[in-house]
Amino acid sequence: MADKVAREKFIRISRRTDVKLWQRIVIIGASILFAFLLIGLISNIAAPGSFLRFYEYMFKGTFSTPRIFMTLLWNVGLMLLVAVALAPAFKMRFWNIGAEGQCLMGALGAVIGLYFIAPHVPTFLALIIEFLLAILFAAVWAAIPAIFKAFLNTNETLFTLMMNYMATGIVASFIIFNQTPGRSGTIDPLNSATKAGWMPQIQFFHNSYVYNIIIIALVAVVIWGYLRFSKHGYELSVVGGSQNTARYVGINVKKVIIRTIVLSGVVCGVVGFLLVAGGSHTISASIVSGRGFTAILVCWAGNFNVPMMLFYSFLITFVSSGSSTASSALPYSDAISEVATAVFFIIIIASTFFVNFNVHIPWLKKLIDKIKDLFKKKEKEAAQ
Amino acid sequence: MLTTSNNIKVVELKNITKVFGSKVANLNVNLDLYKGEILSILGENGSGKTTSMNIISGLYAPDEGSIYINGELAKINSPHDSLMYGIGMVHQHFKLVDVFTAAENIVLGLDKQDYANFAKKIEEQEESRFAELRKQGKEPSEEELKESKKRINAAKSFNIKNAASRIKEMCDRYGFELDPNKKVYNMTVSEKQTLEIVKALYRNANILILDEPTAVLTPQEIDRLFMVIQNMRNDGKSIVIITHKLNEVMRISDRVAIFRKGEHVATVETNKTSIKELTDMMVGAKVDLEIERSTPTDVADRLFVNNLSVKNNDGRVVINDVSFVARSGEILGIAGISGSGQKELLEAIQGLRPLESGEIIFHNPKKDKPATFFHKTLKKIKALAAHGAFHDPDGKRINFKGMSNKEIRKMVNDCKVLFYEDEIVNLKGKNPLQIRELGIRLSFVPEDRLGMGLVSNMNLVDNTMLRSYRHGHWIFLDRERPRKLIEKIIKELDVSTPGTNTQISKLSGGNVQKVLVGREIALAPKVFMAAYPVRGLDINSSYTIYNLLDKQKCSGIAVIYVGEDLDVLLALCDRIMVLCDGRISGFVDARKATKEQIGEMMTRHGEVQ
Repeated sequence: MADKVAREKFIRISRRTDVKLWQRIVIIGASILFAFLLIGLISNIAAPGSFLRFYEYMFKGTFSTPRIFMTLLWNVGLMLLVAVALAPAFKMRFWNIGAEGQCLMGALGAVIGLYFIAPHVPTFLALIIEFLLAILFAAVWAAIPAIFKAFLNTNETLFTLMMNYMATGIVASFIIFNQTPGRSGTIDPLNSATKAGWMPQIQFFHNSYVYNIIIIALVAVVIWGYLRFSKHGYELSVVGGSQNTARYVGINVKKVIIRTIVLSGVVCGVVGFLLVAGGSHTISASIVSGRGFTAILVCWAGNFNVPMMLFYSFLITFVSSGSSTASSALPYSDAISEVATAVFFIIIIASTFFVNFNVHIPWLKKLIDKIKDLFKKKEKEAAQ
Repeated sequence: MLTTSNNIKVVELKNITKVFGSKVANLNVNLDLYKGEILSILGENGSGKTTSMNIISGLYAPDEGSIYINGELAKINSPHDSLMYGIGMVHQHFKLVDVFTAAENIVLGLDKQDYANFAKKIEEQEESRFAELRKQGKEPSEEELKESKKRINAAKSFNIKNAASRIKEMCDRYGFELDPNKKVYNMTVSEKQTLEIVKALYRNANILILDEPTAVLTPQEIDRLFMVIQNMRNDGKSIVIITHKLNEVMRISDRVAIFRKGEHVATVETNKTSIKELTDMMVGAKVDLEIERSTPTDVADRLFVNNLSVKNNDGRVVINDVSFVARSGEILGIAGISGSGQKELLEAIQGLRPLESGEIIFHNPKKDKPATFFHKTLKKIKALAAHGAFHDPDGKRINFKGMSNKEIRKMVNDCKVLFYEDEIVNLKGKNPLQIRELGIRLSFVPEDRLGMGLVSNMNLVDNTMLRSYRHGHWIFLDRERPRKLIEKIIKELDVSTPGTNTQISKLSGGNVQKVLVGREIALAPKVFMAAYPVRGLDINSSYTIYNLLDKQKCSGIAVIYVGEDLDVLLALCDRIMVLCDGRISGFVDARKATKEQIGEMMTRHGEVQ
């Protein structure tokens, strides 16, 4: 071209119109590798020389024995289930960040069953009652913001966030009123002598989470099918896509909002039930341990798609429990596990930028071309 | 005839190329603009006309090529740079602050440097005026010199009063009508446009680019705009009009530049060309631009709208006491300035908007047609029979006396229960779902295709089943039937798409509209309503849609068409209802009425107010 533009841009960004699957895989794969590398470097800064040992401990803490691996799976399952609970809500563009509170209320429902009813009825019946109570509590907790959203168009993000704190407060007062005599602010595992209302345990590699994992798998498959193939699932994505379109085709938007969020709450209730009846058999205000928040990122990164969410649940649980193990062996605090999780998510979510956009750096390209030319020249010279 | 007498090039585009992703918006565009001419830029949507103008006005940077202004290589990196070169652009969507007055909007964003430039400019003007005087042997008087100094000083700093007086002066010069103290939210569309033009002129723009200036104006307002544009041209300014309306191109411009698929195809002098030639160049092939209009047959009253009043989202009454009848086998056109309540009217009929007063009555053509259990329960059929609503194939009334439920069911299923008369249904207070359940099929192509008719992040199949996904009692979806339907639509309407699983927002406007219209036609409706169905579509797609509407009419459907192009309304419709400010200002016979007549009716109520 005879005339060049007066301005050459330093960096140019353009939207990718069609992203191929392999490009997506390469970009996400590269970002995961980069994230792992970065975590190792952070560990190395905290404890010089620990770069390789960090990865070693990470694997030790997650894969070394069948029992440890089963525990990892149980944690993966819990993370997945919370993410699965959020998926219908998110797909409907209802930004439910109250999964933490909803799971906690579910756990409270299960504990109430375990505490007041389980000693008096057969275990089978007790489990059903606990399950129903957990679902009821969590569903009600989710339905409150949904009803406000549907009828008064309140902001669901703030609303569900505040509901988390209320749930924490309610559970804390429940604990104080029912604390084990002689202990302050805790309840010892309930019915530990009779195991009344406990999930039945079969031993599999010295591990008692088998039934829990089966339940999680079942629920995940059901929700996956619900989102993908059912009329309800279709309706909620129409509402998420455009409420005007939903009205135009005669969908009752209010009904769909409430129904979907109640479903979201029900799945959170299952999480609460599993945490109590299949896990600790007691309750504390931190029993959900932040999964309600981490799952938001899992759900988002997995693009509301259940198999992808499974992948990310696995990765993130591996990173957090692995680095937690590493922190007990290496000379720094347990907080490294949180740092690692955060770094991981930031990089994974940032990588979606490269999935959606193409970055052209003209000067870098020129530089590379120049270097290539230089090498070619040298090769030629060498050949001569 | 008006031709460019001088050959001073004010803008020269050389080999401009602009690429968005994989889409080439402009390819090697070479374009000249002369001093004192009106240049039309003609092209279909997506042909790159707006992109090239956005490059001149500094919104986009070209990937390749250069811009020369007054013969010098220009560095345009922002709209502000472009203004420094005297280029002003009036965008299709106005960029004004609603709560500010006209004058405040005009001075918004000016800095010290701009004021200094204004003062310099005025000084130059005054000096050249004095020089002219001196040439004639007259010395400017003391008073005149004083006056001139005052004006220069006044221009040097910000003062809203000075600004207002300068705006007045400018308006008088070119024939604008603009009140500097009027707030933007009180202005009509035409006033806002005037304000945008004055805003550019205030910044000493010598080159004015207008993007689709007539799209929202009435014929009378267009006349006024064209007069002003001619005044500016005669004052030595260069004006570029981006448009796709051929008759306006012929009327106003000196030269026409035609764009096609990102390339500048040709520039012709207006008085040496014809509409036919321009269209052929624009489309790239010879096109048949006849809108088919069949003679209505079997006309029957289908939909009665009686004394209807409807509010918009802000709670303002936008449809006020409107009554009309839509007839089967006829296209009823609705004309009016955009925002006169057309949208709300159609939404009210569709059941999307509550009625303030009045009613909508649907005449379901059921006479001598069998009753079915699709939309009626056994109980309902029995109740209707008690009122004598049915007759048997021999013409005798049916009352089901002494028959068991089983026998009645058999009789209905054997199609032996026929309606005695058309069914009359009041749609008031019914939502879209209830209307569907009554067995009344209303098709509606809304103005906001992706926001109301479709879901932009869903694929074609999922969008096709929006209307039909409820079929059957099974809780799971049947995607097979919609897939077959969309494949048929793609084939019949020539939709260009990579596949049926493509996200609909990736399709171009015309193809999106074909999917929507195809889906609505597939409903086999009794009433077909379309609001601005060709907005944003290229010529070929537009004519496809017009002919589809005519075909619907021939198959005995009552078609209601809301349009903005009066030429099309007159060529396509049978009757036209003209709305003004939410009231009916009259009905005209589309075969006899003229554009001017409708244009006047569109504004009549407005002046009474």
